[in-house]
Amino acid sequence: MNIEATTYKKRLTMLFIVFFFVFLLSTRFGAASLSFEDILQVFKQGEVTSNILVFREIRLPRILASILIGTALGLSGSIMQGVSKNPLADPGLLGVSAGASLALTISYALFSSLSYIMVVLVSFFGSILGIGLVFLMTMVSRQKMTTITLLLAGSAISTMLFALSQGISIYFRVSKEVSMWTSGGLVGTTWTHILISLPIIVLVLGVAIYYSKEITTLSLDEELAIGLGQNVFRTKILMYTLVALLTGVAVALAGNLAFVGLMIPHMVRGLVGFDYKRIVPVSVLVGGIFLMFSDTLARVIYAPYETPLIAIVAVFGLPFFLYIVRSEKGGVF
Amino acid sequence: MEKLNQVKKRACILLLIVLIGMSILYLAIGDIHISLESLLQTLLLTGSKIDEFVVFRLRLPRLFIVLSSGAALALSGALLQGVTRNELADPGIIGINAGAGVGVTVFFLLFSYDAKSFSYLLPVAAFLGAGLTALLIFAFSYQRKTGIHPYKIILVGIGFSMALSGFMILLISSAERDEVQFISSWLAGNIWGGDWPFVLVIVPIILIAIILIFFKLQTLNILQLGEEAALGLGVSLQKVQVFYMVVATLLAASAVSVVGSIGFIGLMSPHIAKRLVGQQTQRYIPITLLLGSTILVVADFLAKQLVEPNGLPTGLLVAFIGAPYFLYLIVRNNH
Repeated sequence: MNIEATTYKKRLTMLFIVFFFVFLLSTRFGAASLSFEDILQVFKQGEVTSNILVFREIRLPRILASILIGTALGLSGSIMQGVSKNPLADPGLLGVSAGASLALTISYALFSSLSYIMVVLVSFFGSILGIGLVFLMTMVSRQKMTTITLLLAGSAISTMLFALSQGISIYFRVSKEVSMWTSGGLVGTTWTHILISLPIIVLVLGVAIYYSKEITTLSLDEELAIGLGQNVFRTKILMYTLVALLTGVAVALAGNLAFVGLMIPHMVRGLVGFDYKRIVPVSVLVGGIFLMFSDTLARVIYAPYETPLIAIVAVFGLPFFLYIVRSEKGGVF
Repeated sequence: MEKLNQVKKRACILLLIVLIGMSILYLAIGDIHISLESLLQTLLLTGSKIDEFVVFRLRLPRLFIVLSSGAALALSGALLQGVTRNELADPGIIGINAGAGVGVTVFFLLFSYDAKSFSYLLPVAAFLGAGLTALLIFAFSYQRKTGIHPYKIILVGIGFSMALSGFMILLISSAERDEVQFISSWLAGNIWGGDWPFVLVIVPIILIAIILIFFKLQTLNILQLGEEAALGLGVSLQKVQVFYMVVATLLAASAVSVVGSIGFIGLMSPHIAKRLVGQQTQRYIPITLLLGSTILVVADFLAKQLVEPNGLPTGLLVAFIGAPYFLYLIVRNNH
């Protein structure tokens, strides 16, 4: 189901146009509606008006953050689904983001304030904990886990870790701080957040493109990958580390957004097929488009109040989830 | 074999003792401690005014709610497991709780200022939400050739419960900013309806549903044998399935409308009960009810004691125990 190079280029251009369009839309709307003239003003010399400040210090970092999160979640979903050959894999559903949340809650409980670099680091280690637990389940299980049992196990792990972190946050009375980021969406994103997250995402993107051939072979046939002399174990470890990094960055920015890591890869595969050399860059575009759009909705629906981004994403995600569960291509049964 | 039965019988008696003991502790211990003596006096209406207030106004209604909701959730789980023939089914996992939550949310948006005087509408709202959700979940996990897929239904339910939690927040944040707190505490399983008006509405509904099920235990037995056996014995399969589903939804919806979204009780209780007394419904359903009540009373008691001053949400404590149990079941049953 791979597509011709020309079709790929055509679709890529289309995506770029949509991406740009959504970006423009996203710059314009929010609690304070800015006209395009206001926005152009930003790039000109002159006195700094409040509109310019709103755009430069609030709107722009927030849009960039939504693109980064979309990229991170879309890519981590793509990698996870490819490496585990599980069409329903998603860091949110399998308990990886729950691990990040737990780690963050614990560190909030122990230290009253954390620098943002620490927040990212902590949620990275938390993600590793989540992935480790899922792995442990597959090891303990008597037989090889099917897609469904793995997903059920993941959701149980997720529930457990969330319950734990909620309990801890109530016990140590940090629930306010914790819920600030778990349900805060992208409110209060600053340039610092972007400057720390961006290099990580770029690094991961580079590694993912470099290893795209390995991921593609692995996602198609593990035996084949071994036959081609690939060190499958090493590739898997590396890929899951990438997933943990991506999830860590995403959770640190906006809390737990389930379904995104599930739906983006499916859309991407539908658009460009199974080659990860194409999947990786297109995940950036599609993930970026989706989250920019959702976050714009979060700002606009009940402006000037914020609608929780989690809620919007979850409502969007369900139809997709159902579609995948029902479709033959889910290939689970 | 004889010895084993003896042990099991003892386990059941022990369960009953634990339940009664916990209920007494539940009434006696809290912010204000009441000695057993004065508790007895209070219950005989000869105690002090303060004790009377604490017991009759605060703790007794909550105890009733907890006991009946625990039993309701457990029975709902047992029925769902029977109908789907999947021992991982539970009203919380399968998304019925979340559906009820949407109903409760809408109810709160309409009557937030005097929820208590409209308490009789609360289970109705919860049931409508839960029923609609259950219907959708069934529709999406039903395949024309194979019927309801026992695992798919759980997967679809998980999806629904995540999306509906989001939907609840969306609904709330559209109208009453302050009510977000209520919904998030509802989602965590905070028992809030421990008050007489709720007792008077919820407890009778649950009791009637339980009695109804006790008349139909034999059919549930047959259902467990498999669809062909059921058809062979002349059971109208669809009718029976629909009946059990409706009752299961009603039970779960009424319970969670006042105790918040508490999962896993419907998963654990039937399972443990079957291990104690075997697969026959007439034997394990009563034990399931007892277990459900016991688990919830113990959890609520501990949750109140563990963290001062407001306690943990009870649902959290249940999830601490329930989620690992769920994992254990998955790993063990994995074929």
